[in-house]
Amino acid sequence: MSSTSTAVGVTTTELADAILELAERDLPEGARVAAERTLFNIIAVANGAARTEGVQRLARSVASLVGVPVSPSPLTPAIAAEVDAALITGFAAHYDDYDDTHLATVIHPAAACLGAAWAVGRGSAVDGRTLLSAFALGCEVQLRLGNVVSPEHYDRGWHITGTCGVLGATVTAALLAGLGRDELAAALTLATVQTLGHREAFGTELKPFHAGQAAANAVTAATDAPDAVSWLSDVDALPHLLSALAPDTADPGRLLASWGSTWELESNAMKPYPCGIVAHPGIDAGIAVHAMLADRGIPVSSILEVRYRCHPLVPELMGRLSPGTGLEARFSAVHGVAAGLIHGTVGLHEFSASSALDPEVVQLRSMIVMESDVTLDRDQAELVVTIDGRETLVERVEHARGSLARPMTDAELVLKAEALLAAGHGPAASELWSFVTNLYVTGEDPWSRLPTQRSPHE
Amino acid sequence: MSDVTVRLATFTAVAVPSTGRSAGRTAAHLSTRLRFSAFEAIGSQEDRDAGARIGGEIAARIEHALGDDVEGGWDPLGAALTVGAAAATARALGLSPQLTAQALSTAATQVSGFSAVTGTPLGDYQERHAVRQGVAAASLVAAGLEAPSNGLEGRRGMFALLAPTASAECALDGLGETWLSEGGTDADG
Repeated sequence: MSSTSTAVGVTTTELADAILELAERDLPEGARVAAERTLFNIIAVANGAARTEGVQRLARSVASLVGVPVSPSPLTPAIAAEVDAALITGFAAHYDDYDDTHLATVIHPAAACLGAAWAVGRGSAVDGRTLLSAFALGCEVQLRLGNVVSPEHYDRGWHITGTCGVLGATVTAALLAGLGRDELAAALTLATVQTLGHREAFGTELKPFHAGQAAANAVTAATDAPDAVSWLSDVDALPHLLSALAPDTADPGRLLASWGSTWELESNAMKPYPCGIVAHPGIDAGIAVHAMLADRGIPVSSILEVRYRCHPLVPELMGRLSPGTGLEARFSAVHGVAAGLIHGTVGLHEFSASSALDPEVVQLRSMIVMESDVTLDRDQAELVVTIDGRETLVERVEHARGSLARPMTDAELVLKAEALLAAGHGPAASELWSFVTNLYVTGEDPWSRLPTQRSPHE
Repeated sequence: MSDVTVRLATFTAVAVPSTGRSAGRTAAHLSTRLRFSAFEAIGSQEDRDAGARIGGEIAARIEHALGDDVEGGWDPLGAALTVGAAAATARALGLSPQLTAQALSTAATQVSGFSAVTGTPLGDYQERHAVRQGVAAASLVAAGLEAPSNGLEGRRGMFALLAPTASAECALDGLGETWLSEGGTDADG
């Protein structure tokens, strides 16, 4: 492996050294807490998504006679090869778009890293500390890579969760496999030629597939790495990757800036709603207006018009006006607002296919007009709701729930998880919370200690 | 923009494979790679022969359309192999045109690799990955994975990301009349 630094960047070997050095140290408290919240959230989300035909269908297609459990949920009881378990778990973790978001890069880092961790993080060689650390470092590398190539990479049309996710999940897989320096560098190099993800996939199952396949590719990279060390000498593919991801503006210096002292993972936000995060302030506003209407005894059917002032990214990313499926609804900001106005709460049911096709929702959606406003931040929105021509209600959200200024509390996360785990026949949220927050001191083979999952027949 | 993915998918599903001249460079490359992949376990030999022939044509057309317009150093051969492998597998599996379009889209979103490492051991690895993922793409769609049908020409699809100045519609030049994948044609270099 080349050990000469580029003029402005980082070599693959230097990156491997940095990762291994940090893996030897205890996670700082802030990073550990962030990793625990992220892991708790994503296990619950993956569990919940197992209720869907999409996840179950894909799980059945990869079932095998030998291997590892295909996902954390008892609703997918199959066994599969590690690479396929990584695919299914990562796919499930991103299926409902209910996971997490690093707001600066819009990466959803946990899904791919969970997929890799679930598949590879087993056996006596892995303890809870190693598992949590590998998960945390995988997310961290993924987010930092995202910083290097943002915003150009996403603006060009790439699904950054998939492209950067491969590298991050490779870190997780490699650390759990106990790879040394040269092997880790080889794994990262092999990962650079296995990136994936175009935004054309949004609104279809191909979007969560990106996260799942990123995890699967990571497992492949980590598995192939030991044999690849010899023939990868003098190859440094990292500069090629950065140039390909963001040919005009890649800033390699951001990859290891303040490494170990600043953790991007601490800026990872958990989603309060199962849809694109830029729509969340509008949903907050819709829920607030629902409460106002209820207080005054005014039926939602009295609404004549809704003007929805939003950041320009909202119509860009969430501009579907007439979604016909649950996945399409997750890319419809007006659907989210309508759901909030009608139901006063927004969760998995409000983003189901039945909700997308509900006549009441369809009608109200048609009354909502999005108005881009460049003066608004991404976590701001305003609804101006006209009632029967006589009255106007205005609700302005300064910081959306789940934003950095207003993160979900631990209690809110547990409440979110309770609904998801019930849907996925998983453990009680309190049990999962206890598992994750004690993971750092848990002994070998931690996944074998995941709380008992409720049977689908109970 | 015309429905490039759908039209290539329809060709993939229904075209009668040419029995003309021997395969050109890209098609031959794909055929060799397919023989060392999971493709060998799909269908009958006749199905695979037809699939490889059709897949080679799709690969040649993708490479032709990308031309010299790929930005960022991505590997156009890798793109051709990934999509071509998906086409070959979709044909061997007997997928409908609609499902084949989804298979091509599922492959397109996985295009990766760098032209700078072509001819090196890492280049060999990335080509094997390209074919493996293309074969898997069609298999996953056959198993029910739902994907868009415009993954090649969509606003945020393969051509827009890899070669924004190229015309995806060039992949349709003479489709059904001329086989770009046959040896000695201009498109095959």
